[in-house]
This record gives sequence, C-alpha cells and structure tokens, in this order.
Amino acid sequence: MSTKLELPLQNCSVPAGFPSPAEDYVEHKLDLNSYLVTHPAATFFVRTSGNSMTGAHIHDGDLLIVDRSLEATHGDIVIAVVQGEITVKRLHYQKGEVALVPENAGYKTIFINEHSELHIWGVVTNVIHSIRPKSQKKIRSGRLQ
Amino acid sequence: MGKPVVVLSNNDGCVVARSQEVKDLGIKMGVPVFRIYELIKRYDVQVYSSNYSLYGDLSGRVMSTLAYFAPDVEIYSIDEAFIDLSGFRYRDLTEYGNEIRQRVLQWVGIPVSVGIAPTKTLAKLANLIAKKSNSGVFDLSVYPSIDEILSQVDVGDIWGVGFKYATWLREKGINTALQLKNADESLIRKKMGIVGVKLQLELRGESCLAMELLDNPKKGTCVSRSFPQSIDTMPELKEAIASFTHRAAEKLRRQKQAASVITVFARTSPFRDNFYSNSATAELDLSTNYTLELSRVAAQLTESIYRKGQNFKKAGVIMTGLVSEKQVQGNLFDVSNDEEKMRSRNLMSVMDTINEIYGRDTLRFATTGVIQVWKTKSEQRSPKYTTCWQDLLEVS
Repeated sequence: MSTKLELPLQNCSVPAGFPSPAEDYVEHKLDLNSYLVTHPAATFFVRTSGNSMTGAHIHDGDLLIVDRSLEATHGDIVIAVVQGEITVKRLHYQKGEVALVPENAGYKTIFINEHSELHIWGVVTNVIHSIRPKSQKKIRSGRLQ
Repeated sequence: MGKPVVVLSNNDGCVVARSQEVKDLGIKMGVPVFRIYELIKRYDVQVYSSNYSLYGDLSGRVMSTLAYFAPDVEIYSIDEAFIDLSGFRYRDLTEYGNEIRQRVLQWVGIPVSVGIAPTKTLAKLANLIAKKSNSGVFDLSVYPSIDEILSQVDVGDIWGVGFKYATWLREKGINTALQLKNADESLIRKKMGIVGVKLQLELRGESCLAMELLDNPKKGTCVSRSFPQSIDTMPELKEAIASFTHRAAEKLRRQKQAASVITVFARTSPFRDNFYSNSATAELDLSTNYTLELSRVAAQLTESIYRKGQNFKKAGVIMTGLVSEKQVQGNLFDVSNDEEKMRSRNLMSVMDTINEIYGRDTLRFATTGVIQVWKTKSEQRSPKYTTCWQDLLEVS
C-alpha cells in the first residue's frame, strides 16, 4: 500500500465579478434539535392521546419531548408508569405526599400510597403543538380568498 | 411483568433471544418456532419479530452514554462494548461500574451488566458472572483468587473458544478456563496457533488484545434473509439475491467503501431431507460499490449455485475485500470512461438520497422484482418507538 498525498483542488467555480458580501458570514442552518434536545441519548419522543393535560397546554395528538436524564422534582410534568399503565401527569411531591395530578377538571388525581407501584419514566421538557387544525381549508398565506 | 418473551429471527423463523422465564421453560436458542407452538400456547409466551431499527437506535444510545465514562469505547457488537478504564486505577472500579450501570438504566432504560478485569478475555468472563449476580457488576481484579473462579468456568464459555476447539480441548483433558490457562503452551500453539497463545496470556492477566476503536473500517458486509415461502425458480432466486445486493451496495456507499470480492449463497431448509447448500465467489477486477455492477456479478453467481427442484429457504450476499472508496484503483481492462463513472456515481447518490427521504426501496432496480414473493415476514414486530413518527409511544 502506498500512501497518497492529497493536494487540495479548488473545485468550486469562481465566477469573475462582484463577490457576495454574505460569503464570509454563512452560518450553519438553525437546528431545532440543538434547541430542544440536551441529552440525545436520553431523549425520547412520545405522542399524547386524550385531554387530561389541556390546562398545561398539552392537547390530544401533541408530541412530547421527554428527557430521562433529569431527576423528577415537585411540579415537573412526567411520564409515569402506575400499576402497569403509562400516563402523562404533573408530579406532586411534597411533605412525603406523592400524587399524579391531571390539568383538567374532568380527570381524577392519582394518589400514590405504599401499595401502588410508581415508576417515573421520564421528565417532559417540551410540547410540540401544531396550531393548524388538521382538516383546514388550504388558504394561500397572505391572501384570504 | 415477568412474562416469558421470545424474539424471532428474520422471517419469524427461529428463536434468537429469550427472557429468563423462557430459558427456564427449557426453550433452546435457535429452535424453529413451529417446534414450540405447544409451549407458547400453554405458558402464554409473548412472541415478537425482530425489530432492528429499534434495537439499533437503543444500542446507539447505550454506546453514546458509555462514552461519558471513558475516552475509549470499542463497540464490539450491537449489545456489547469494551471501555478502557486503565486511566481510572485510583477509583473504586466496582463503584464506577455501578455508576455506569445506573446511568445507562436511567437514560436509556436498558439494564446492562458490567464485567471489569485486566484483560478483554477476563472482562468477558467477569461479565458472565456479573450477569448472574444481583448487582449486575463484577470486578474480577479485586477478587482474592482469580484461579478459583477460572476453575469454575467451562472451557467452552471462554471468549473465542468455539465449539470445535472446545471439543478438542476436552479430549485433551482441558475442561476449565484454569486448565487452559495452565496448559502446555506448545500443545495449544500447535492446535490453535497464535490465537490460542494470546488466549492463555490473556487468562494470565497479560493484555494482548488491543482496543479496536471506531475508526477501524469494517472488513465485510453481509445481507441475508430466509424466505417465508421457499423459492424454487431461478428468476425468483435471482430477484431475491438482486435485492440483497442492492441493500449491501447501499451499506457500502454509506460506509464510503467498495468491495473487491462478492460471495452469493443459498440453501434449502436444514430441517428437511436432501439438504442442499451452495455458495459461489467472484473476485472483481475493480472494487466497486455501484449497484448495477455488483448485481451483474451476483446474477451470474446465482446461476451457478441454482439447482432445479430445490426449495430454497435462505439466501444472501457477502461483500468482502473492502477498501475505502478513495483507494479504488483503475485497471487496464476498465474501459468505462470517467464521464460514465461520474454518471453512475451521481445516479447512485440520487438514489440513496431519495430512498433516505422517502423510505427504503422507493427507487430500486427492476431486477429486484416487482412482486417480491420472498419478502420477509415480520408479523409480530413491536412498534419502532424511537425511529418512526407513526410508531411513537402513546400516553394519555
């Protein structure tokens, strides 16, 4: 095996004329991952169903970003497994009391006692909610028809 | 919880992974699923098809979590890695192992066992012990008598000792890891060569298998499947092989490698009479990762191994002699001109890009077939929770 010396070859065309003033300021594109995901190895996406958390701006069909590397504390919205059921609720964890609290008057708080099995699966960090209804008439932006 | 679970090989053919409950039922590794239907029904065994995109994703998460703990991580397989702790001599390594185990469990949800020892071979043994322990962590080097442990390890359970060597060693009265460690070196060298000598040194605590880090290019790539219904015509077999070739070429291009040797194999069911298995290999004049070029050779090889009247149950292609794309040497008889090469390169890269965006096989060559009778069965696949928007976990 011979080693090869690679010589750089200018392979982009160099048009004669006025250089672009933006050339030196090209940044990489903004990436939502870097904004929303701190620990990629520990971050999972889940889909919500139902309306138990609408008070926390989490709606049916929304996408939740869940970071398992975070320790859940009082007030966090968590993905929890209770008696084998997986659910998203706000964690109440104070004065030795533990409960999973919905954010909708139509749903009941789940109280955790020594007989119930609770496993915190991960902490919800963001909700991705589309503000366009799914079955929307397509209106060209900028002009109502 | 506590249900028996099995995972089946491609095509839902054989058992490739078992939970402890399944092992306790006496279900063996590799047994064809049709042989255990009775047990499955009686004990309500949960049966899953392989789901490699999920396993691959979780594996990547485990490996990148490990990278927080040591500068050098060698990914040995989808579920095994070596990490170099030689820089952590002043730490309590058992405690560090616990930390690693806890972190992977919390971040990814995968329980791992950690075996710690002065050499890779001993680390693999330490891992066997860790797996069976409650804590999931075992540091061999703090154990007062390594020999006592080695005397309890069957020679066949040592890393790198396959069935053949194990049989030979037992014939020579070498039944345990300790006996292999102390066996006559010249005897071992004669039969097992340098590999055997290295094994003995490793068992004695002298590390001689270096960490192989990620920049090591892969040495070969293989794509093979078993068929849900057997194939008995030449066109069908050619079609199947063509699509495996298409997949393997995609892999090579992703790894920026080209193959110089291509092997095609096909076999009938080993559980039927008149078992037939054959393979053929061709060396290419010019290394390539161009699908059409590889397919042409694969088709010729397929013709040479096809036998009329045989019901083929499995086939595959193996690409070896891999070189970096950059090293592909032209040769005297390579008549294609540069422009043509450029055109085929562009064609491949457009095809790969489209398939990446719109899903596998959106664009493929007609040689891979339209009906694809041999298409893999995976009826019991678990959702691709982490790699597919449609399959995300639902919570309410």
